[in-house]
Amino acid sequence: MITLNIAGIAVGVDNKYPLAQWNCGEHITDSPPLFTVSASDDEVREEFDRLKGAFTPSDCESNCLYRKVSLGMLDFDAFLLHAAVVAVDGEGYVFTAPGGTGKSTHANYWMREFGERAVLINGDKPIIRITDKKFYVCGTPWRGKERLGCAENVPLKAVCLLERGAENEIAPADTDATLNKIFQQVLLPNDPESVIKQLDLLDTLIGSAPIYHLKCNMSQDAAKVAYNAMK
Amino acid sequence: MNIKKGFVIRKVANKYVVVATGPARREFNGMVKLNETGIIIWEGVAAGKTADEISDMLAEKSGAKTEGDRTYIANNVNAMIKEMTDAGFLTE
Repeated sequence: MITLNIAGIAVGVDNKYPLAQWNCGEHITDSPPLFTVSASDDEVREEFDRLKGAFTPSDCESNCLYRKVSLGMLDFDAFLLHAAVVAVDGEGYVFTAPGGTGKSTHANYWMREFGERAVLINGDKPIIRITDKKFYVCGTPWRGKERLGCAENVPLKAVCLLERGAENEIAPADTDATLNKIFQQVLLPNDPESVIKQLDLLDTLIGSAPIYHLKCNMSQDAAKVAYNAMK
Repeated sequence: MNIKKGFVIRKVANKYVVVATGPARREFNGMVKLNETGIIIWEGVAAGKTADEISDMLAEKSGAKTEGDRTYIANNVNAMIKEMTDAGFLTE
């Protein structure tokens, strides 16, 4: 069993399969865990079947574990979001969209644009945490197939709802569109208490964080357009 | 007429968001957003009221005076109840 510091919270992970593929190294901590997660053989098998055998048991266990970590995080005013995050000058810009839209591609344009000023916090499943009414976006071991990310936590600067478009255009997002889009990129728990916590955190995020709607054409220019509006 | 167990309602971004949990999630995986009228209709159904009772309540609340207004309200109530039925939210 190991303990990982994720979003400033010590999480015990009781894994059966090797964690080598997890990118956990930077997260390992000596602190005592505040909660512990594990996946049963049945849960791993169910995930394996759900993915039609296309992923290894280790990957399946990893999936089961990130869902349980995400659930546990709700007690700490934190939740997992399907997004890519780049920090520029220490502030995190979160790009969220359905899979295949181009989050990682867009994040890479930012990395190219800002060079040493930029850090790729996470390419797939960062955690958003709310502490003292401030938002933080945090790296996790779940970094997507390109395994992009690190274990840093940064203040949230803005959330960007990404969509493909012919031209690069960005504007403040309207609340309704934000709710619809962000809702699809969080893990919805299945018990009422946890759902309430998740919805309340979304309400806080949508009500207080700067949120933008970006249509972009997958060009380097998109990074400039986006940054200039959100900085 | 009543609503199946397991629906959670919470205000998010000034809308009432309805989400299914537990067994209800197997049939409905998404989110419903209700405005101020929608939540009254939903809660009316949850309390076991009939469509007519809910329409009357809404008409009184909104101060509907004309037959036209009352018909408009009744049509909205019936439409939402039909959507809830089609989506599988209701028990028989």
